[in-house]
Amino acid sequence: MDIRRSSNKHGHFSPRQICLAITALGVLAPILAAGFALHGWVMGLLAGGLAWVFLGKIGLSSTGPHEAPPGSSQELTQPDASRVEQLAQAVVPVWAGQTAAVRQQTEEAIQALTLRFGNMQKELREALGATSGESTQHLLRTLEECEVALGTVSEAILQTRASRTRILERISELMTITDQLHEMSTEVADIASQTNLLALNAAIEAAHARDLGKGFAVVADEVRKLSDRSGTTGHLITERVELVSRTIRAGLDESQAFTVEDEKLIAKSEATIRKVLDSFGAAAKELSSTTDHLKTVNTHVQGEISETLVHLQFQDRIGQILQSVVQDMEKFQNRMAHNPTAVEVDQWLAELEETYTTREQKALHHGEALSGTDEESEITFF
Amino acid sequence: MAKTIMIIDDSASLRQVVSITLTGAGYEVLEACDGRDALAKLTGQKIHLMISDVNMPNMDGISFLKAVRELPAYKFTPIIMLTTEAGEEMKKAGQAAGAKAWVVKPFKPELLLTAVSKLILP
Repeated sequence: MDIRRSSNKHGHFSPRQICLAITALGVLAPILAAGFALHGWVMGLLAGGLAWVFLGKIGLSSTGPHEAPPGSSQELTQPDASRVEQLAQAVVPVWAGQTAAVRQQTEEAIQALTLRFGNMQKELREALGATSGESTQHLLRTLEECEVALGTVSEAILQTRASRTRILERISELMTITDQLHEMSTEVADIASQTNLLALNAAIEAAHARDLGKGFAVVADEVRKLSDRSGTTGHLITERVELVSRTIRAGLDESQAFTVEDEKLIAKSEATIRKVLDSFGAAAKELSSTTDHLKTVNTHVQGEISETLVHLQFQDRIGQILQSVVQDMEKFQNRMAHNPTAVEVDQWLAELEETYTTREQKALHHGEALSGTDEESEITFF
Repeated sequence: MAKTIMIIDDSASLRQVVSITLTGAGYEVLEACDGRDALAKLTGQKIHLMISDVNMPNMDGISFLKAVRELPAYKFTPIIMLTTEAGEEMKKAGQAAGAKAWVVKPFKPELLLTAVSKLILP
């Protein structure tokens, strides 16, 4: 389809030439609008509005991307063609400039947003590290070690108590022995008393025997003296045994009193240790629970940020769509300036399609509805 | 020591998203804005993997791939193509030029990390 055949060398434009402009606008405007609409931008209206103005200026209406007006023999006059050319020359750079500015501003805004989301994700990751289960586990391990250590202290106290009880038992046995000693010393005193009585009787009998009993009287006297000393020693032993017995009794009473106090202290210490350990255990459990909750929230927020980062990538797609539109605008402007008659509509559209990289561009080019922008990422390994 | 990955993409925001994803996973990142810039930055570097866009000014991704494979130091460095291009013909061109994987944008960070950990040099 060579439209040069239908235009004259004076620059008259046939309806098919004008059709190229309409077709190009019909294709580019929805693509441009779709590019912006990916994130709800209203700037797409700019493209549609400008297209409408353009078409209004040349006094035609668009019949759709691929519908060339029916072959009409009506040709534009020279002034009409000049106006179209002038308009194209004037308006296309404006469109291209506006679109490029939008692309640039969007890119900068998305960069700033991405940076902020990236920093948020990093800070969350660091915060999660600071409150990680590792530190809680460390605390729990420390508490377990404390429990073991305090349990050892408690056991040592119990062993001391057992030793004290054994000592008290030994002292009680000593008390029994001192009682026996007391009885034995009393017995010694009795024997001495009886011996003294016997010595006295022997002395009386010796006196009855006069001279013959003199020697026996001496023996009886010595026996009496010995019984006196035995009696004195017996009394002394009794006194000493009583003293020892009283001392042991006092010590025993005192130890038993201390033991009762010790029992109370040990019981109190054990209760305190148990209470401290229980408090630590409860605190650690709460801390662990809070950490788990924080971890869950953190993971959720990080997931959300991750999803946001996926959506922010649509800037790249928008950028490519806009770039394709701007390039085609520049190509259109160039063609209008240098060789407006050597255009082929189908070829133009085919070349435009060659520049597409996204599915939505191709769909829109063929007048198909967008299937949505939530495409799944694809990966192919070679 | 952290492994180094080079990102080649003309979109600064996309480079940022990839960079955040990779640095978050513990990788070091080098950035280049197109194939020519990447080739200039490769000298003297130890790169364990590259992630490249396809459509870029100055030097596109496929041309970059071919040029990199000519460099002895990077002949076997794994390269992942990260692009909006999903056409089979373009994928075949990437494979023929020496790409190891083809990821279509927008990518899920965890998916890209899976591909990276699977392909990165030890």
